[in-house]
Amino acid sequence: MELLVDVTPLMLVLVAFGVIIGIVFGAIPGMTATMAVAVCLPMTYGLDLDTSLALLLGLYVGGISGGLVPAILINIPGTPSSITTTFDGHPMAQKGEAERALKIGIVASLFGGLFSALVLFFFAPALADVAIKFSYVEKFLIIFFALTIIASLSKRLINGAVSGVLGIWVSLIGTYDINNGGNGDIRLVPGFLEDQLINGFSLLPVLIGLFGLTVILEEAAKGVPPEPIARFKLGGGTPFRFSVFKGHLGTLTRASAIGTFVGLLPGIGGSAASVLAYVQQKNLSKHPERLGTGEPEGVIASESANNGLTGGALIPLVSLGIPGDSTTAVMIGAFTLQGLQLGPLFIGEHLEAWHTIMVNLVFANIVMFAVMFFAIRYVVKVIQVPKYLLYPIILMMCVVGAFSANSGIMFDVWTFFLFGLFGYYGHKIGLESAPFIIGFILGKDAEVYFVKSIESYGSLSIFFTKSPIAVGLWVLIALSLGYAFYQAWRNVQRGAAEEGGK
Amino acid sequence: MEFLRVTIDFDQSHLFFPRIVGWVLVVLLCLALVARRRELVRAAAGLRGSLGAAIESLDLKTFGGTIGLLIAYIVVMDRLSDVWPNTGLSFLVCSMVFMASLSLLYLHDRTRRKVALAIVCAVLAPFVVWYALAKLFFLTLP
Repeated sequence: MELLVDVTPLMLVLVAFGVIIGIVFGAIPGMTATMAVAVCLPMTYGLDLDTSLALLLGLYVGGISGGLVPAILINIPGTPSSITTTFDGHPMAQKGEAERALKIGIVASLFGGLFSALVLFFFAPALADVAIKFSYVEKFLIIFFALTIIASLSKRLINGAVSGVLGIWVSLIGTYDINNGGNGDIRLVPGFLEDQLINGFSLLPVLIGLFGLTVILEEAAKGVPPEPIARFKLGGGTPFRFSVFKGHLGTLTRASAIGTFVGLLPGIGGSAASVLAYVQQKNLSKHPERLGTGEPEGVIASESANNGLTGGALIPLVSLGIPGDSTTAVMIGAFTLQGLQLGPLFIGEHLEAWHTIMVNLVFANIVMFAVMFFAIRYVVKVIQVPKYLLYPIILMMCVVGAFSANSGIMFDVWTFFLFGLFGYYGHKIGLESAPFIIGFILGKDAEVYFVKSIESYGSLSIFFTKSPIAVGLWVLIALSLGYAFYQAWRNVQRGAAEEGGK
Repeated sequence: MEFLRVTIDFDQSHLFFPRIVGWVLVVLLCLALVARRRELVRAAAGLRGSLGAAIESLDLKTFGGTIGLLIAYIVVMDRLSDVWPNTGLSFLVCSMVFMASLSLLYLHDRTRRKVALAIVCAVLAPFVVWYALAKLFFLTLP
């Protein structure tokens, strides 16, 4: 009951509101949970941390869950994480079992969400207890490890690495802060922008530009295709019964665990979680040949994995200050607004906020289930919301969000615009937003930890010899890089084989 | 381990890490160019074709219109905020015009009903946001 002490009715209302808005964003193809959180950030400017978190967690859970609706009904994943839901969900819909497929997905999503919340509750404090013992050396190595993972699991190793390092470089623009032991001098800034960039680019406008404007520009470049004409029928076919989950507890648990684990790894999107869980399901299924033809177990694996991601991605965020995915990277913006530092000390020093996170995460999952399960007939209409009404609202919210991020600075609006364009053209040349933003968020900390370690010990050897934890981290870094090179090598081999085949 | 010794001059410490990151970035960019050399050669050979295809697939009117309207929105809102300082009225008025224009740009078949809906939305949405942020949360708006 201690957990519920700090919960207020307003929080519960905001969670529910967040879930509903999140479902709308998730259910519209092209819009994501990350975009939902980025666009709605300005709503939190006037709220305190606890109520802000309630809204943002609702958006996160709703945004991840809403993706299953178009995946099943029109074979287009609403969010990248529901890509594998199309494999079996849409064939089920074609057989006239759309409502059954949706409800299976919703229940699996609830299981995945609650499973990952449970893991978060027990694992985050334990990880924070270990991390509290870290010196600057280990903290730098953790960030280095996070960046190698981001690069190694990117679509292309080299593109992910360039994006991450570019994010770090951009984060260093501005003053080397005296508060962090710096010398207070400005760097990487052209003379005429020194006044505006004295503190570098502000995080929130960068986030809103990259995850809000970029998406709209990509849609605009395609001429803002009209919303899909619905050709689906909900009812009919085999009705949904909970007995469909009989014998699938293993599937639910395994896929949720995979989702939670992938969430733990920094910068990895939900698509990796659901693809891994789906492939694993295919390997272990009694009828692997049936997967892809409209089997409920395919929907169960995919949906429990992508909701498992939510709690998993919050673990490194809360205990290390490292976001697990792009949505939690945006959430860092909300903490920054409140002047709070995430990291090993967070849970101990802000127990109330930690309890709020837990209660609201569980509540968000329950609300998501209630809204989607019982009002599915209305939720499906969301995919037909006209884009000509929605996109202008989103752009207006983005502009006001960027402007208000630092209490009214027009340069922040230009930052939003600049990074929106950067995201659009960056994607064209293969840069990736998630590694970039995580590099941007962690860059300044990486600098402080790296420089202070060298200033204290006077040698680079300290990074290898400081402690057994440092050695352990190097092993993890080596494994992550080894995996990355192995994957890159396999891709080259595959490419060569395909060319040979032609 | 003498070769691993490093001394950082405090006066120049603000450039120490950015220089390392800058060099890592240059090396990675070179590696990216080498790794993708085949694609680049192919792209260069078919530059005219691929460029033409890219431009053809780009909806210039909608894309350019979005960017143009957004720039105009930001610039005009900034100017008008000097005329009506600290009221948020510049935001309110400019957002209504911006949203209506953008909706009309994105509308494929401009039936009377859809245009009316777009205009109602363009009036209502900025008003709700303006009221919530400026009047309830007391946030500064342009």
